Amino acid sequence: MRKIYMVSISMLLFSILLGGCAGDSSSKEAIRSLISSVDMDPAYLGGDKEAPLEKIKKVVADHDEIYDVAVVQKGKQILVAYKVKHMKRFKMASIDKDLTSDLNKKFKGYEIVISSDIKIFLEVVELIVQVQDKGYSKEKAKKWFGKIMDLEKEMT
Amino acid sequence: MAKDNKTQEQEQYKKLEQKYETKRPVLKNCLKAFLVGGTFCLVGQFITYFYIFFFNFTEQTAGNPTVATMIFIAMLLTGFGVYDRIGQFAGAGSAVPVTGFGNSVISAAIEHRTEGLVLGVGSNIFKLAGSVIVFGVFSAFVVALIKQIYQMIIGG
Repeated sequence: MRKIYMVSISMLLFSILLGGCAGDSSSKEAIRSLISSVDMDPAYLGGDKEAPLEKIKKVVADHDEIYDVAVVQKGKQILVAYKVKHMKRFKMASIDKDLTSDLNKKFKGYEIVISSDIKIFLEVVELIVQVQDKGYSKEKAKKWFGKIMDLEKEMT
Repeated sequence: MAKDNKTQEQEQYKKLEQKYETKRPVLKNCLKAFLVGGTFCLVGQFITYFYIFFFNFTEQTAGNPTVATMIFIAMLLTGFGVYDRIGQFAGAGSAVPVTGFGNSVISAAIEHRTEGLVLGVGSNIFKLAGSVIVFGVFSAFVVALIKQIYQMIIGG
């Protein structure tokens, strides 16, 4: 009897788990970015003139603590998602502060938002893949960008 | 605090007791607690990544559903009698993580269910976990107060 309960509840949990996975269409790059560096090219979604995105990416990547960067721009807004080396994560606040001041000093006139959150990184990678590889429409991409920015502002 | 004014016989008995007392394998217990506690954390990390990858949770917000899921799993395991065995093997390794909190809630509920839903389960469910909540809330209040005073004096 006990075994039947255990098996039925395990199956229920497993089906909930699978249900969550069913509608997903994550790219290989997004999955790979969970465990290693993917080094995505920056993406420009239109709006204001294109910022030197490659330069921005290089400035961020030059920080020793950071091992992967993804940059995307929409109008004046530039979203920089980055991943910090595991043992350097203790200094997350100071890395964030340094990076913000560094980017704002070097690239004036843009609204640069930085994030070390893995979810933001995943979304940015997915957006770049869709825009660059699958001919995703710019309008949809802009909406997606807005959603990522909202997610970034979400605190709890 | 009670004063330690033992008689000579009591002292002698204490020495005799210590001589025959089985020594606790402290190192072995620590290792077990570390491994089992670490395994719980690993499972928690997988669940966090699950929520980040398949749902709209960021690293900051994924903590809440992860904790809820871990407590839910601990409750199931307690109900099936598995968590007790884990507890006997791992000691603090299973009591310190948040799953230990779930275990203390549900085990009290199971123990007192024969006394009725209101006076039994209702009044005893937080018998063990109540102190965790009280001291958790109180210490959070003290820390917040210290932070507030620090910010008022130093600024930041």
